[in-house]
Order: sequence, then structure tokens, then C-alpha cells
Amino acid sequence: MLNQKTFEQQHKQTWAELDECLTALEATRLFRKRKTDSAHHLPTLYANLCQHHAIALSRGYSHTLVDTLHAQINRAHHQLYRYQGNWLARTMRFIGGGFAAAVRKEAKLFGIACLLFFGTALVAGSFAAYSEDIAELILGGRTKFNIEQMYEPNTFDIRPANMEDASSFYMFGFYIANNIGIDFRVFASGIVFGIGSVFFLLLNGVSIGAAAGHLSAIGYVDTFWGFVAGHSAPELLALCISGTAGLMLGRALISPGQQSRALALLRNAQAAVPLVLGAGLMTLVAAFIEAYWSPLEFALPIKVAVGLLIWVVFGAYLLFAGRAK
Amino acid sequence: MLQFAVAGPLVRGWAWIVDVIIRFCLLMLIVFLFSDLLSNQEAELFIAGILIIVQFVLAWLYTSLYEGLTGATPGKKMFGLKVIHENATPLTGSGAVIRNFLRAIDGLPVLNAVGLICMLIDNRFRRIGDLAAGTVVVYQDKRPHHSAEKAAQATSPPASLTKEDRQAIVDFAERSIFLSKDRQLELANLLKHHMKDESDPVATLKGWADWIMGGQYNAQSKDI
Amino acid sequence: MADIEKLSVLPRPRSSWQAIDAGFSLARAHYGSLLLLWLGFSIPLFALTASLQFFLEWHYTIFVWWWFKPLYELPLLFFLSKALFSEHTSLLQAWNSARKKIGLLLCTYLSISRLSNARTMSYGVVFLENATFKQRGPRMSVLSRAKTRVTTLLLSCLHIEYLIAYLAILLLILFFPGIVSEFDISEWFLAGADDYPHWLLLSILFGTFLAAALVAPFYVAAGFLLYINRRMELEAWDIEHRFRKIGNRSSLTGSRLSSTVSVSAAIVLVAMSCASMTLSSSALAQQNQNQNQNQNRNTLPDKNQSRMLINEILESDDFGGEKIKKFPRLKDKDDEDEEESEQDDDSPAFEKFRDSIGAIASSFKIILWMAIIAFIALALYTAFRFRDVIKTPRRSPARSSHEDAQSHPLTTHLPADIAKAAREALQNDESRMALSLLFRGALRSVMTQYDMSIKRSATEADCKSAVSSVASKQQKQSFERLIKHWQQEAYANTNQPTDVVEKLIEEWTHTFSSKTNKNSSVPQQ
Repeated sequence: MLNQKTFEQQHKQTWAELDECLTALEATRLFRKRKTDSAHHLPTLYANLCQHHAIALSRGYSHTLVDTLHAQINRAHHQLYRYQGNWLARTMRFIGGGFAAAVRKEAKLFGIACLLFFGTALVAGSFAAYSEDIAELILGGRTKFNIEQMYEPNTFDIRPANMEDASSFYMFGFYIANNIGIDFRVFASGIVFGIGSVFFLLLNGVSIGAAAGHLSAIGYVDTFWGFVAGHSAPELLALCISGTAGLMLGRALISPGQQSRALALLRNAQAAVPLVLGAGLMTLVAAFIEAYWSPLEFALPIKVAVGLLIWVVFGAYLLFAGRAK
Repeated sequence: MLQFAVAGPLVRGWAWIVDVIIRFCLLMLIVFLFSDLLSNQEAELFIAGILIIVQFVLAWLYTSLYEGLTGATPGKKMFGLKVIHENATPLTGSGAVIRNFLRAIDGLPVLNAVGLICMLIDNRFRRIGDLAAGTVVVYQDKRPHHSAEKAAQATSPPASLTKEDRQAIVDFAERSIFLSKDRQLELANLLKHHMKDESDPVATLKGWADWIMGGQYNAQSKDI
Repeated sequence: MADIEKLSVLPRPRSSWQAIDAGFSLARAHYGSLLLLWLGFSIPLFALTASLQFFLEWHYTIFVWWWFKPLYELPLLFFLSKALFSEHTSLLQAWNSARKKIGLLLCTYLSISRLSNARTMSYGVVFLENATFKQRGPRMSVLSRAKTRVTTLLLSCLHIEYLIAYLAILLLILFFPGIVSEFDISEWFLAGADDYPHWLLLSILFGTFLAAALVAPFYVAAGFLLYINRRMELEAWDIEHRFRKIGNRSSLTGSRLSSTVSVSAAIVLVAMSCASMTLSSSALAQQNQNQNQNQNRNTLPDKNQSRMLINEILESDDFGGEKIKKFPRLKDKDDEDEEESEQDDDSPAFEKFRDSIGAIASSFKIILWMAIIAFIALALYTAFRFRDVIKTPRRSPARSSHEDAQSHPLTTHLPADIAKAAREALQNDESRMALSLLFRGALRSVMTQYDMSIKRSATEADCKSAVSSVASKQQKQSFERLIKHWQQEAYANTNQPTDVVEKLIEEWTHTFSSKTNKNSSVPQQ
């Protein structure tokens, strides 16, 4: 039988070669150049290394040698099995239709989420429009006062004069942080058997609906609907989509089907990721519209028309993008 | 056969604290960068916008991006940790997103209390995010340094040593530099009655180890 | 009797972090017992100190109770030291062993060493090795030469404890909003302790108690494993484990049988720690004297020798040199450097920047718009470019799932004249082959005739139902009969009699063959 020193001597070169190859692969990161020459050898070198490790183990070579080989196997394994696709193309494919297809796949849950959100919004809105007391009850006195002040037609100006651009940018940042954060939270809270997501959907539905109903009732139609029309489509749809993702987590725990709950959770979470990320992107678009388009002063019909157009665009995107012809 | 040691709540907690500090420093850095500009109201708004965006990115995307791309945040790297899937494959992007977005739940109500309790209950120290993403946090293999002590003379061990026995003897020789002289003697004494020459069991044992490692080969080359 | 073979924790070199993790695992495995053990001593003392409240301020009573923490932890140590070797100790035994050591506890951890940061780790030295006062210092310094992270452990557990206590109080406030409404939370911080309302005092007391109880098992176990880990490392337990196996064999030339028989030799916890004995004293051996007296006496050096040894070890490379760094590095040097360099920057550039801030903000707007437009263009382009990629994977499974007579594996590669081929096979005594030909031929003929396609993975039953949905009654009956015989032949392994098969071939020519011949030219065109 080969003794350890001879064994080490024999394979030293292979190990050094692998080490070099791994160092090259590890050094370069995001914008990695295609180092095909060294990467080509990796599978062969890896297979050799695994064999050497097995031999070392079965022949009972010293633990330091076995451990060294094991550490190298780990490194090579990591390089061999990590995702190495073209991330830009992947992102573009995702936006170009993968996202819409993922949403359509969960059409039923998306419907439930929409029903939860828009349904409560409608109900709360009509109640709030019907009676101011109910609006105050739902919104709370302070919030009601604040939004009334904000959309007061005579003083309505979202952006302070003379620094529209800076304030638009500030609002852009604020909408990103606040609204996308809400989307992500709605998703995460779905892990509590879906209750969290349902709760957030209802909560948002009630408060948004009540505000809309109340403001329409007291005649602030121009200011409120004019401001809101543009960004409503991406923002509200994104909220419902992240709610769908949260409901998927809940579904995995409540009715896992023919698999264990752990496995169902794993698979559902995996499938929910495109929805969450897509919802984030949609909210980003919404934040942009909200910060740069919505405050512009145009007549209500124009604004509503543009808003409807955006609704149609997003609706068509969700319905048709990425569909096999 | 890949093997990993799973990392527990304490070391992960410290890695998390380091990450929090790093993020805080980054945010402070931006504040310092722009602090001179805070005279003008317009500038203030602009900077506030930047700060909000940076804060959002640091809060939600910092960990996901780092873990998705390299498998570990800077804090984890500092403590020699990395995140992998339960089937030992490297962490994928969606895995990173799931486990880090669910920190919104693990972080409740303060200081990751839910995650901590979940980790203490689970047998692989997984928090809720790990359970949903199918991931574990493990220690990165450190490459052990190779250092067998040179024996005076390679001598042949008894022929009937098994594979495991030979391995134990080699390990003894390699680890002996970390052991006190007396402990070495004591360990060697356990095999004393198998030695022909009982005067210096430690040296004999190291001689055996050298022989097993390939000392025979060396001895020959020395003779030549 | 502690047997190294029965260690419940694998003896291998571990880092301190891993040792702490192993401690946590051990604590979880025995959590119920450990919690009860801890409560056993702490509840009476808690009651006692709580009654002190009549004489003392409340925070003094908490302090008194807190001071006696090592007392509650001691039974856990004895329990764990047995559990480590997979031995069961009853709670009573553990309490009893702890009770016997109360005297020692009073002059160590309940007085001078109460504030030691390495408390749970050094329990092992004091109570398991029975080191004397003088030996403890050097022994501990040997154990803590490597990074042991005891302080980190202490700090972490302390904070976890506070966190739990805080949460408990918060929970109480949540559940009983009635009492709380009278009390302004901000007063909690401003008011002196004397002004605390009664319920708050009570909740602080119980919160502290609960938190300490929940954390103690983990803290003690982690400290204990840190102690054991250092000894495993210093004394190479894993190697000893394997050497003993070799040594236990009566002779190395002997058979394998002897090695399996003699594992039972008494290897005691104390016996394993020979280095500790060489370093400390034989006092350790008292504990289990009767068991290992003969085994290890000859290897014990005397006290003077051991003192020299300590010095020798301290001077050796492995132990000397570096000071222990107690805290992880919290801040990147680079960060600091950058900050400094930024501050050193001279201000004119900044002033310029400040002046142009409005311009920057508007250009930012333009950039954003451009980014959006570019983004949409890119998206459209990509959607256009990848249309095939998006489409193809969807289509291919659809195509592959249903196949017609030309592509289905069952019906391709068949001879043109099935009946003739089947007869030949039958003459060669291959009734199975004949039946297979007939079955597949019939399927082909039906599929071609009615332009039918079936799944690639279709079973016989699938074929039957597919055929019966389109074919004529005669064909259907004949096909069913065919399938029945084919299944008996192929799956039940019963040879079908020749005459039956011949009859089937006759029938086949009747029902399927003419049409096959007629239609076979159609798909070829």
C-alpha cells in the first residue's frame, strides 16, 4: 500500500492546480470575466480530489491530510454548484414575462388577495362616504384631519414651492422605503399561517378605502383622485401580489397537500420569491410615478385618463406577458 | 461526503451585531459626507432622500445581496460562518431573499427574540427564515496546518496494526506539539506493552508514525 | 464510572464557538431536568429573599438572590458531568452532590470568585477536579491560554437574560392594561425605585426570576463544554480513546476478537484527565479512588514536578506569546480610515457641490426618467429576444406528453405485417413476443385509423380506455381480450396456450389488419 508521503508527493500537483483554479474563481466576483481556461478543468480536478479524499479516508491517512482535502472539496463544491448564469439576462427575462407568469400561476390566491384588499376598500369606502362619523371612527380623528388638510383644494400643494425637484426626490426616497418595506412585511408576516398577510391586506384596504370614500364625499375629488390616479395601479397591484406571496406561505402551513409541512413551506417560499421581488419592482415604479408625475398640475380628466392607461398597461402585462403563444 | 458543523445562536448573534455596526457606520459615513451641505433647505431634502433610500437598501437588501452573491455577510465572514442549503449546495439568490426577508418576523418583537427562541428549539439552530428557505448557517472549513514532528528514527511498528490504529498513531505525532511532555508519555504508555524497546515510548511512537507516513522511504534515501 | 467510550459529545478538536454550540445542544437535550434542578435550589431561596422584603429595599433582595446564583447552578454541573458520558443521574443525586459542596461554594463562588467572568467554566476545576486554592490559578490560566470566549458567553447570556426579563414585563403590561393605565411608563425611568407601584416591583422580580431560570441551563452547559473542550484539546482525548482500544487488545498479534471484548475497562472521567492530575494533584482521584487507583497511579508525577511542568508549558510556544483578545473586532479599520480621509477633505469642493445642489437634483430627475425609458426599452428588447426561450420550455412538455402512432415508442419499429410476424414468433415458441406484437400492432392500427394520440407514459389500462373511447365495438372487444392475454403473459408470467394465441391472431387479422393495410399508406404521404 502506498504510504502517505508518497501519496502526497504523487498528487501534490493536482492539488496545487485545483487550488490555483479555485483562487482564480473566488477572486473575481460580480463582473467575473470568463476564465474558461482554468474553469474548464474544475470538474475533472474536483472528481480527482473527491477520489483522493475517499482513498485517504479508506487507507486511514492522518486526520490533517483528510481534513485538508475535505476543506478543498468544500471550496470546489461551492464553486461548482453555485449559480453562474447571466444575471442581467435573467433579470430581464423575469421582467419581460417571468414575473407575470408567476403571478398567473397563483391566480386563485391573487384573486383572494385582491378580494380581501379591494373588497374591504370598497366596503369601507362606501361606509365612509355615507357618514362622516364612520369615517372618523375608521380613520381616527387625527388622521382624518391630516388628510383633509392635505387634500384641501385651495391650499393643495404636495411639493413646497421653489424646490420641487429636491422635494420630489425626497418623496421618491420616502415612497421607496415606506411602500416597498410594507410589501416585504406583508409577505414575511404570511409565515404566521397567512394571518399576518390577511391582516395587513384588510388593514390597508380599510384605511385606504375609508380615506378615498371620505375625501370623495366631502368634494376633494380633483385633488385626491388627481393625485392618486397615476400611481394607484402599480402600487395597489403590488400590494395584492405581495399579499399573494404571503398567502402562499400560509397555505403551505395550513394545507400542505401530499407533502410534509416543512417541504411545502420550502417549495411555496421558493415559488413566492418572484412575486415578492416583482412586487418590489412594481412599487418602485409606483414610487417614481408618485414622486414625479402625480404632483404635476394637470386637469383631472387627463390625470384619470393616464391613470386608466397605466391600469390597462399593468393589467395587460399581468395577463399576457410571458404567455406561450 | 461533505460534512459541516452547524453554527449556534451565540456566534450568529455576534456576527449580526457586527453587521449592524457596519451598516450603522455606512449610514454615518454618508451623513458625514454630506454634513457640510446641511445649510440649504433644498439640499437638506435631497440628502434626506438619499439617506432614506440608503437606509432602506441597508435594511432589506444588504444581507440578501451579500449572502446571495458570496454566501456570507461581512459579519458572518468575520466569524468564519457561511450560509448553505440543507443539501450542502451554495445558497441561491431566492434562498437568500427568503431567509432575510423573514427576518421581519424573526426580529420580533425586539433584538431577534423570536429567531433566538426558534434557534434554541431547533436541532440545527435554524430560525424561521432558515426553515422556510431550507438553509443552515455553518462554520467555514479552516484549512488545518500540516505539521508532523520529525522523529529521530523511523522504526517499523508491529505488523498487525489496523488502519484505525495507524491513523491514531500518526495523529498523535501530529498533535504532540500541542500536548505536554507528561501527557505525551502517558498516552504513549498506553501502548507500552506492544513495544520491544520500552525505554522511551514517546520516541518509539513517533518513530512508528514516521514509518507509517513514509519514513521507510525517507530512511532509505538518507542511506543512499 | 465515566467511560470515554460513552461520550455523548464527539471528541474532536473544536473552536470555542463550536464548544458553546455543543453546550447549547447538550442543554437542549436535557432541558427539562436542568430546569428542574435549577429551580430546586432557587425557589426556596427566592421565597426566603422575597420575605426579606419586609426588612430590606426590594433591590437588595434581588441582589441577595442574584448573589447566590452559583448555588443554583451547581446541581446542573453534576448532572451535566454525568450526562456528558451518557449516564443518568437522578435529580436527587445531583442535589445531594451539590449539597455536599456548599461549604466549598461558600468560600469560592459565593464570596471572592462571585464576580469571576469564567464562573461556569471554572466550576469544573473547583468541583470536578477538586483543585486546591493554590492550584486553581495556574490551572485556569492553562485552560484559558487559547481563546475561550468566556466573557463573550457571559455577556451574551446576560443580555439574553435581560431581553427575556424585559419581554416578560412587557407581556404582563400587554395582558393587564388595566393596572398599567394608572402608571406612566416614562415614570419608570424617572422615578426613584421607592415610587414604583407594587405590581411593577412584582413583575420585575418574577421577570428576573423567569429569565434567569430559562437561561441558566444554556449558560452552565456552554461553560461546562468550554471547560471540557479545552481539556479534550490539551489532553487529546480522542487519541487516548483510540490508544486505549489498541492497548486493550491483549496483544497486537492476537485476533480481532479480543479487541471487541475488552472495551469495558474502567476509564474514568478522572482517569482521562491525567494532564490535569499532573498539573494539579491527586486530590482529584479521591472522588473515584476505588475505581481507578491501580490504573493510573504509576503515571502520576509528584507536586514539585508538576510545578515545573506548569512553567514548562507556559513557556512553550503553543501557550506563550499572544495575549487573549476578549472582544471580536467590531469595526473595520478601513471604515475609520475612510471617515478620517473624508473629514480631511478641504471644503471648497463641498461648497461648489452645495451651490450646484439644485442642478444636481434636477439632473437626477432627468437621469431617473432616462433610466426608466432605457429600462422599458431594454425590457421590450429582452422580451423580444427571449421570446423563444420563454416559449420553448412550455411547449416541449406538451408535445412530449401526447404522441401519435408515428412517434409513440410503443407503435414505432413494428413490422408491416403484424399477423405474419406474430405467427413466426409463435412457431419459434415465443408466445410473449407474439402477443406483444399483436397488442402494439392493434394499438397502432387504431391510432392511425382514428388519428388518435396517447401519452408517452400510457399504461395498458390507459390504452384500453383510449381505444374504447374511439374504436368500434368489435375492435374494442377484441382489443380488451388481447390486453387481457397480454397482461397474463407479460405480467402474470403464465404462458398462454398456443391455440389461444393462434385464435387471437385470426381475430386480429379480422378486426385490425385490413384497415391497417388500407391506412398505412396515408400517413406516409
